[in-house]
Amino acid sequence: MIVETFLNALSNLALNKLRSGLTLMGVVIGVAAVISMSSIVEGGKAMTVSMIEKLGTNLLSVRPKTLTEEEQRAFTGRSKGLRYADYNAIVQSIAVAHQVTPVTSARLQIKQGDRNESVMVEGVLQTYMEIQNYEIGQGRFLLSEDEIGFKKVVVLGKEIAEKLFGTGDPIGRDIKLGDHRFIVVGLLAEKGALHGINYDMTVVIPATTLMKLFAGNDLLTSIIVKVDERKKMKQVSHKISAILLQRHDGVKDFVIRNQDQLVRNVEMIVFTFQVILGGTAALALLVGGIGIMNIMLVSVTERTSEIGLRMAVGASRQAILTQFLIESVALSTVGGVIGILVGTLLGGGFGWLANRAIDGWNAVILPSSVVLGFFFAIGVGVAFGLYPAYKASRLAPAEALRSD
Amino acid sequence: MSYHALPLLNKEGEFPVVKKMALISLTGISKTYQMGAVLVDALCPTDLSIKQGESVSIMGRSGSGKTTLLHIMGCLAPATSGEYLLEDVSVSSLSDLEMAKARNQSFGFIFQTFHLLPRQTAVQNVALPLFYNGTPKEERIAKAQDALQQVGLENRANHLPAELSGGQQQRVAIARALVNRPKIILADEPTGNLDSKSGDEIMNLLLELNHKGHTLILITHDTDISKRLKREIMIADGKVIHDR
Repeated sequence: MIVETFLNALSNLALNKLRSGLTLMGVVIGVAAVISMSSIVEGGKAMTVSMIEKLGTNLLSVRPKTLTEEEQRAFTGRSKGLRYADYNAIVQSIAVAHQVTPVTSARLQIKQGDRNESVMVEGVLQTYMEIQNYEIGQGRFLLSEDEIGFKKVVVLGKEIAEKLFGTGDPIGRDIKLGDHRFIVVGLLAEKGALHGINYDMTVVIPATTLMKLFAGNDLLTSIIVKVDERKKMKQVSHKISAILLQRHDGVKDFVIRNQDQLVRNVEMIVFTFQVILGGTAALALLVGGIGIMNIMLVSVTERTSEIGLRMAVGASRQAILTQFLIESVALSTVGGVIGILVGTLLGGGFGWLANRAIDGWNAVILPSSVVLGFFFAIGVGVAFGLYPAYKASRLAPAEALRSD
Repeated sequence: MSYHALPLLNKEGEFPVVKKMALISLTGISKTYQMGAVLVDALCPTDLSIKQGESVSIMGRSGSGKTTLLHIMGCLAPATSGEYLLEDVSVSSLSDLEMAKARNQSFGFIFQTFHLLPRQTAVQNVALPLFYNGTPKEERIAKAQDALQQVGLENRANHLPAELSGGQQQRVAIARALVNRPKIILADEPTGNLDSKSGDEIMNLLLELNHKGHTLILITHDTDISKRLKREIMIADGKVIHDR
């Protein structure tokens, strides 16, 4: 009987297309807004998280901290900064399951024939490849004997290799870094760019080689640790902090950054957006609900004599209440369904625009936001249809019949 | 106390004879309306008893209270005071649901303005009372077709009211009143909107139904019509001034 009433309600709506359409608009806009906007926010989140994961997951990075003048004065002579020995100390005191690499760097001229580029060269260990999620494209990555023997070998990113060698095979050929000749032993597979860093322009050599030939000291740019399990991040971070504080005579001249924290920050921002969107959508649905209530009140007045007749042939108050409630729910449900369609299309459109602006940003329509939008629409129909339906059900049959 | 409609027809398809029992019994029934600050007595305390199978006309000028009386008898409006026994059941003690059931089972209403739903076909209009007692859809349509046949409109079943003449529309309304086989047919000036020829046909139909056993209570101000019914009640200023 409810299904039949619902179908009747739908055919009633179809008879008054313009009026129904205008009434639906509020609900359509509300639901479409939730779905399209949240798809963009979700897409942004997915993009950012995947970027962070591309950097390598479960990473801790230790970097030197720039001290204020005051701190420098207070700490003079107590700490020598982040050095290769710190890396050794960390490796020896944390579990073998975690991987560690020191990173040193220097900006150098790189030359091959008449081609010439200025690049940031990084001195690292063989663990660096796995820590940073690189894959080898050709040849090999750095080995520990390169490190021990201060070997002059280099591994190139895809783009820099093409710049230097064009389409030719660079493996086994040599290039000049500063004043020194290096042999190309490997090429990295393509990785792309993120946060303004082009990973395909990477040039890596053994850390020891860089310190000896170019830096002249053992100061590090950073120490990167890949923790084997996400839940151990905090524990390992504390341990490293303790080791370094002890070695640096209590001077906290370093910071430990956590990839996990970055993801959590993104999630926090997304949540904020969702709250704002939710509020906007709630307002739109409220307006939609008021529209429905208005039209239902008009409908009850227009159809007073129909209500009287229905009561005369045996409709109870409850049956009349149900009928009008179902009509308002039918209105809002149709609004919800159209809203979902429009929202999906809009989301797709926004996604396309976003993708033009930032590569990798797509609309992500969550099934949960579709379901939520749908049930909110139904809820609006019930909430705002209740009063008009109640009013209809309280009509006195004899008077309703006379209202022609 | 709850309302249960008595079985209408016996096995032979006739009404069981319970002539002694009054079908409708009004004792001191009155109706007072509040019009702004003024109380208007639409119906003064009235005693009235109608037995099964009677044909009763209620005559009176407009505003005399005859429609009010009909509405009270049809459970469409509560009386202000007095007692109304419908088949020995006190109507004032009925819940809303039981009142609705009484309207559905015991009465068939026919109005001057037909009161058909304009967007539903004849057969859908006729089936409406069956919807409210939970009859399954196919059975509803079958019974509605039967009722349309009784009023000679079986070939107009799928027409909308606007596609039918006034007389035909009133026949549809009569079929709707019949579809639940009610004991009582309440008609409020059923020929008031019809030309004399269709009016005659409608009256013939109603009288035929009365002969078949339906109690007929009919409001009219046409003396020619009231003469065709066995009993005539005249109302003026809310009082029964004549009952023959």
